[in-house]
Amino acid sequence: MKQIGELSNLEIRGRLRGEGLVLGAGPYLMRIKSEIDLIAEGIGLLYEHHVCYDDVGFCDFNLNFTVSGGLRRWYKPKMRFYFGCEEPFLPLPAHQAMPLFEWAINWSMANHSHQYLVIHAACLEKEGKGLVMPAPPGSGKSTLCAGLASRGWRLLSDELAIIDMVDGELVGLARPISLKGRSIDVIKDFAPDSVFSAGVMTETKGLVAHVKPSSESVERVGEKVLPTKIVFPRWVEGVESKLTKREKGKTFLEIAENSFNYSMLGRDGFEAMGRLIGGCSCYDFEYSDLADAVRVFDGFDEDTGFAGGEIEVYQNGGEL
Amino acid sequence: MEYYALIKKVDILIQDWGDGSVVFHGGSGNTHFLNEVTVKVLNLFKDGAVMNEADFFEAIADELDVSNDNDLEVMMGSLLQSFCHLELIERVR
Repeated sequence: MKQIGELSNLEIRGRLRGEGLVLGAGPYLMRIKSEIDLIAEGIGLLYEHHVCYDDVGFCDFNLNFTVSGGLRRWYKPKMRFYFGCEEPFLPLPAHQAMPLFEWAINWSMANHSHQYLVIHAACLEKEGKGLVMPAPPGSGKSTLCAGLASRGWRLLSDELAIIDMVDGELVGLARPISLKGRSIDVIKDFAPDSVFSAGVMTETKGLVAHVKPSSESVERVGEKVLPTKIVFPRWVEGVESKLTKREKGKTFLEIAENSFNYSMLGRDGFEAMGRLIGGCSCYDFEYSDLADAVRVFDGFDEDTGFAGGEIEVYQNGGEL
Repeated sequence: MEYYALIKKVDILIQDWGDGSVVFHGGSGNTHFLNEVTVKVLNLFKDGAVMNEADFFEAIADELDVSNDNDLEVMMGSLLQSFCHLELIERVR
């Protein structure tokens, strides 16, 4: 087992082109194969502190990134992603290799992790308390996540809240944070020491760049944490930072809609979601100034407790 | 006269936080949000109660502390049908 940073770019490239680079991210092992140099460079930069393994039998995901054959190999080359034998995405221009690489990992985890409750949300930790931030694209979730991660919050994940179905704790991934458009410059100004991948123009999301997670977030990735707050952030130009309490019942449904596998998990999902909502205080949060937003998050704390939310079972099993 | 009861042989799970409840239908796997009033309707059936519409209107008027008039019957009759549609309750007898 080594850190990616201990491998030269040549070694990373060699593993990707050979038997595959086995990369650890939280509880997952991914065998990655690729002939694309941009992916080798991106892994070397963004996953420097993650571990890779020399010889393992089983991997959770087998991910293969290739360049289209024929003329397409040379003229406007396209990149393809295979999950085992399945090709879930249309080919993309090869210069978008790193965004596609990250999206492919997100897709793999979101669609093949039904031992967990998986929610589309950023999550971080500070002083042993977990923060979950579900929000639709364009809400400022990732900007806020990157801002908090640059000010002492431990990054668990920018895209996927992975929740242990047994103990209700958040499972860390500490993968790179994906930023789009203006938020790239916002974080470059706010956290100038952050390490960024090169910005890539994509058809669907505009300009995309990734921020390397801190070494501390990666080293502590195995430390699970109980979530205590759920905050739906929304960036609104010119507003003062404002937290507003949310109703838990409606929060339950909204998070269920933002979950990748809630409906698939049936009763177990309902119970896990209930524990999550019951254990957290729930808020909407509007902000325009990132520094002020981080100040609010550093300052607010309150008892959450598990008041209410006990599951009652109604049954009518007998003959009438 | 039609009677209504909680749907048979299916677990209906409810979590109530005081500001609204979520209901999980163990058969369909669907989850629904119930506000503070509608959850009281479901609660009337939870202990195996079987009611016709007249009994139900009287019980819900009593529960909500409102008069049992035509407006209530229209509103609650519609809610009863919605619950039947969601298979949380069913017509019996």
